[in-house]
Amino acid sequence: MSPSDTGEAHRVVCTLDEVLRDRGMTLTELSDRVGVTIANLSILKNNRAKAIRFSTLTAICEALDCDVVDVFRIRDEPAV
Amino acid sequence: MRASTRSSGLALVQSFLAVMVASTGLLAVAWITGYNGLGVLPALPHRLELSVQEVDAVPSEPVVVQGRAGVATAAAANAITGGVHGTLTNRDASHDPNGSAGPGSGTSEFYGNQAFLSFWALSTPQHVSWVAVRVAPLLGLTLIWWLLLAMVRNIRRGHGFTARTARRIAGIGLLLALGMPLTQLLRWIVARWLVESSTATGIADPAPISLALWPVAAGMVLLVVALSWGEAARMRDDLQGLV
Repeated sequence: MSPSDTGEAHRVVCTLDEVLRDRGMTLTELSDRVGVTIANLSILKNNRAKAIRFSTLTAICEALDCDVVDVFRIRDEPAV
Repeated sequence: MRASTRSSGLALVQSFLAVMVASTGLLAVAWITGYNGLGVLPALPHRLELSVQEVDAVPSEPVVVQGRAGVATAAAANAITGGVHGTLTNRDASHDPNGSAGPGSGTSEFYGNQAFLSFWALSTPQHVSWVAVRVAPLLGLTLIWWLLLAMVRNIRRGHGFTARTARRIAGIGLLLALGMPLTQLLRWIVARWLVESSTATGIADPAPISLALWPVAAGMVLLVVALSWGEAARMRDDLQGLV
């Protein structure tokens, strides 16, 4: 049984907000570059996403000129 | 335009299902409270007799009459019409003056030994059993209409692909695959009990049981659909939140 089947909480935190601030880029601009809707990027930014496609991740990292670890990190405590 | 057509179509289906829930439910209540049930309601108005006359009728069962008595009715009817030979002769004489017509729909012959047996003095357990095996399919049908109504209501709200819908489909499948043959079997068992404990025992047998296989097949199909629906609902849950 996978963790998603049991509804187990994950500890992945998206730091897209910080990266965007560092780059001086808005969510709308990123949406245009990546081809993902603002609604979906907002879900990702606010840590409400349950999963991310590799293609989306690649596009975000290319648009922001960063690595995966710059956008995500593992939190010490389990998310509530 | 297309979405509104779909929405109004679903609204129409929902209304139809609501009417079916009410009508089959009312019929079940009529059985339970009517003359053959609790007897708390007077006999139904005459205008309803055509559709629900069995509710207020004397309990009866189709039977097969044994021996010469069984074929007496058919023999008597054939004696009046003259059987195959007689109907052909009558037809030639009345409809075909040239006498060139061959056998057709006017050619007929009575056969068989089936009749209906009425029970005028059933015991309370027998009466209750006779009513119960007639109410059970109605209650099952009411439940099916209600489950369908609930599914359509959820689909209209945009919540069609859910585990709950899958369970409802499985419920309808089980009612068809198990409920229908079970009620048919129980109905035959009750009929056999009533006939064997009546004065007609030794003369009549209950009509042979006729187990329809199509509800079983339809129920199995729905169970398979329910399994797939549940899988799809889980996949949809997984996709929600996918970026």
